[in-house]
Amino acid sequence: MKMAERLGARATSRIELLVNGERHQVEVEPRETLLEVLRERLLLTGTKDGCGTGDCGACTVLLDGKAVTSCLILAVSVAGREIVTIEGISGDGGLHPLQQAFIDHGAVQCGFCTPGMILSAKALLDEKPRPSELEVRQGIAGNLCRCTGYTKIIEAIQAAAKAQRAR
Amino acid sequence: MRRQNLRVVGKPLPRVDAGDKVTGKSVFVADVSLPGMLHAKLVRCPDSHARIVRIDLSRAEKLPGVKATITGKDLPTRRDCSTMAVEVVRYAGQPVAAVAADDPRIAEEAARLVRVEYEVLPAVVDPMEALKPGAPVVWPDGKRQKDHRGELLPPNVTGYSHFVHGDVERGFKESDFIFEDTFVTQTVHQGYLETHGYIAEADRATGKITLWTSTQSQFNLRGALLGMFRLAASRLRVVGLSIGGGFGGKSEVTMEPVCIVLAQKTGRPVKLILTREEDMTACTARGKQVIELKTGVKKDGRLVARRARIVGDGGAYGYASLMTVLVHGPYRIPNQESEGLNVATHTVAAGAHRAPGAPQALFACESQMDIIAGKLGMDAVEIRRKNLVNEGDFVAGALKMPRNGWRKALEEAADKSGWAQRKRRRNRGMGIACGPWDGATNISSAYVILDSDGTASVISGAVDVSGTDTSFAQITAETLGIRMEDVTVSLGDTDSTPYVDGSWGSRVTYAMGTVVKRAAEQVRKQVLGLAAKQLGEKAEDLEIVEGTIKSRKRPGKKMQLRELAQQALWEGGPLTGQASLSSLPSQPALAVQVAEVEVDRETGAVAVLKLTNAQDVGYAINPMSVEGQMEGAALTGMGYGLMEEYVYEEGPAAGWRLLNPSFLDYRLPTSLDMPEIESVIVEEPTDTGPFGVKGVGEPPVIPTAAAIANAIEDAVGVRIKELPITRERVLRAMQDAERDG
Repeated sequence: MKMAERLGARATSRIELLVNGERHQVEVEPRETLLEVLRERLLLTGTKDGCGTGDCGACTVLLDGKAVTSCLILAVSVAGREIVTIEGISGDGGLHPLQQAFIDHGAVQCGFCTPGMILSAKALLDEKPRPSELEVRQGIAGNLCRCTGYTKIIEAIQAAAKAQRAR
Repeated sequence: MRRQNLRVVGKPLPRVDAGDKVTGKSVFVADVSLPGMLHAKLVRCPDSHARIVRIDLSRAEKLPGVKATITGKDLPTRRDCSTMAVEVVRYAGQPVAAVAADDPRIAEEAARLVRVEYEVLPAVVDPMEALKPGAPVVWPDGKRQKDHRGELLPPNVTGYSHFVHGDVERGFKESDFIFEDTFVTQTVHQGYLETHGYIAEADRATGKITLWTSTQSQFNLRGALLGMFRLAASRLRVVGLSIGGGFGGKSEVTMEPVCIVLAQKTGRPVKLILTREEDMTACTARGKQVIELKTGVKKDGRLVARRARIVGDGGAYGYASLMTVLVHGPYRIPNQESEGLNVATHTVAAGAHRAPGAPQALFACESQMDIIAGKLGMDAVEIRRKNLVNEGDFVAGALKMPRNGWRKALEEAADKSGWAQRKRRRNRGMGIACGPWDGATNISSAYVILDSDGTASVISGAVDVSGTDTSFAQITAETLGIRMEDVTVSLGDTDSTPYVDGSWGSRVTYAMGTVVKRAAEQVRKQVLGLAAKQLGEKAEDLEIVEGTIKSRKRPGKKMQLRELAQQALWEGGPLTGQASLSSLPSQPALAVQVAEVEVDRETGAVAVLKLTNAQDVGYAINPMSVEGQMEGAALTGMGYGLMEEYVYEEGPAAGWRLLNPSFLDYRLPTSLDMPEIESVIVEEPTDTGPFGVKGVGEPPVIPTAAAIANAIEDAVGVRIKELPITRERVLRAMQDAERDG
């Protein structure tokens, strides 16, 4: 079979994705990444694509509570597992403490790295409610930011940790 | 100096767009989808220099879902340009064809099915190599350049500039010492996290084109495309969106024409989002420069004369930022001469990157200042103190230095870093460097509208790349006496707003802030005029505080701005202000940085422990934003100093390829690389900026590399004159020093 014909009949599979607490039935090609499915099929465009090769962290989401780069994960491989994106972390009571702290501490500039950065920070705080500064730095070491120089991001994460503990 | 009577301006308030950004609601170009939209993909040549023998699109066109294919011949230019080659490829990664298909995966597959036959040609990827006789010539039919003496320059020199002030030869004769050094910088990417992206739509009935894109300048982009497509301004609408970083890299035409032509061909909207590799290979970069400095000084450290020669890599289609004036630094040098050579190579186009040309020029200038101080046995702060320009001195191209906070910035940097008290510790060192920047002003315009409920909106065509919308909101709120949250700032497109120049040159809060303030003042004047009639008071006795208009003389006399705005609708109509300007006086800024480093003698690794960054900002409308600019710039400067570099390798045939077009192999500083950064805001308000501001975003990226190089010398006694200062370079320099002992 010629390549063109082979591509003409594009195999898809139907999978169930659990995103931000909602179940979605989606038809995906085996080669589609979780990032592509989130952005293009579920229209959850808060998750960003900065490199497509797992180097920048802009596409970070939570998979069963762990921060992962969604550009490196095939959607079919995470059927049924729990996925949280930036759209899913504000509760009914308003913003997540990390979101509020990022606003208050000037940790947001262009904002392109922000969703991924916040999710990496969330994974960190969920695991370590009292992180040291070094642990905060390590927690976001996979998330590049060119605008802020990280200083205010680290301050914001530490402030959010404090705010969460005070709750 | 803070002004106590201001309510909104001068406060560290959160950015107006922060809420949308932390929730993922901000709309970047990749987030936009239009009905019937197609997806484009580029076909690119891997080699630096090649003749296109044949392009076979047939297999791609047969793939189901492919709607159009184009080659360079379909672009209106019909000749080789940075966007697409027609006959000859001149940089690795240059597009030669493109496809549009129903979805991005089909487009990618189709691009792979395009067969291109190349004849690979000898290439030159280094500007110094390109100057040598017999080097491959990038533009064989180009016009030959002559220098200021009228002598013919090598064929790869595609631009030349010369600057002279005083008499350099006489200056050298009067000097006690002459220093001659050569400094080499590297090619780097701007490093914005959002790659370039575009969506074009062409209306077949009217011919009108709409382009949604991530740009720092809707209008400059439109201007360039109008020329290319021979369109009237009304036939091309450019819509800017949230921008995921630009740093100068989103100032010029990149792949927009590809999208537009595909949209014209298909009648459907076409989206093209570049991959990181495409972005790093085929847009613009800060090009390599080689800077020779010959400087004459008196025994007491006074600079007498300097001759500079800057060889800048312009890439195949770009232009090097040759800072022939700024290379003389923030200093009084009575005799200055410099020449700049723009050299074409088979590499990515050189373009703007945060303070274009200045980090290169000041790496040279400020490294040599320490070499001079070392030889004279002078303190590095003292020699700068001695030569720093004063108000009224000649600086930066015949500009008379206005009142400034430069000296204070120098003293603060020294003071806050503990310069004078520093103790000698093994393998530790401190270095200081200055970063002057004259700052752009440029064409600006804005509207301020008072809404019927007493809230206000600001509308302009200036894309917010650095928090400027927040400054506009603060300026407007302050001027109208309302809360910042009652001001909305909107980016209009090229159809809905008057022309403004791009968001670059650290100009926006200074120049755009000026028109916003003037427009808000017009509204305020109308408000007070109407209120004066209503209250039976003189307008000059009225003030607006938190939305209430009241008399300063008779406290009982007051009314709500809300009421007045409502009444105004029936008494002359809505209250609006509009202001425009073409330029303002330049207000040069200065960032002074002290780097503290520790060098590992075993590996040559340099750890930057602290950067103290003092900057004359005129006046900080939003100190939190200003600090954010300073911190981010300093870390970018550190990446430039120690880590980042485009690495080229000779390819399988005669060509050269870029080895590291990814964030894995081209490393930006991470949170683990970040030093402690102390930002010291120095305020000496200008006479011309709103509330006394001057440009902020670019100066703090300028001095970092030199400050680090100077600190390394202080730590381990080796002088590195080539960027980036890798472990290998440090180790080799230490070994050489030991051997020469």
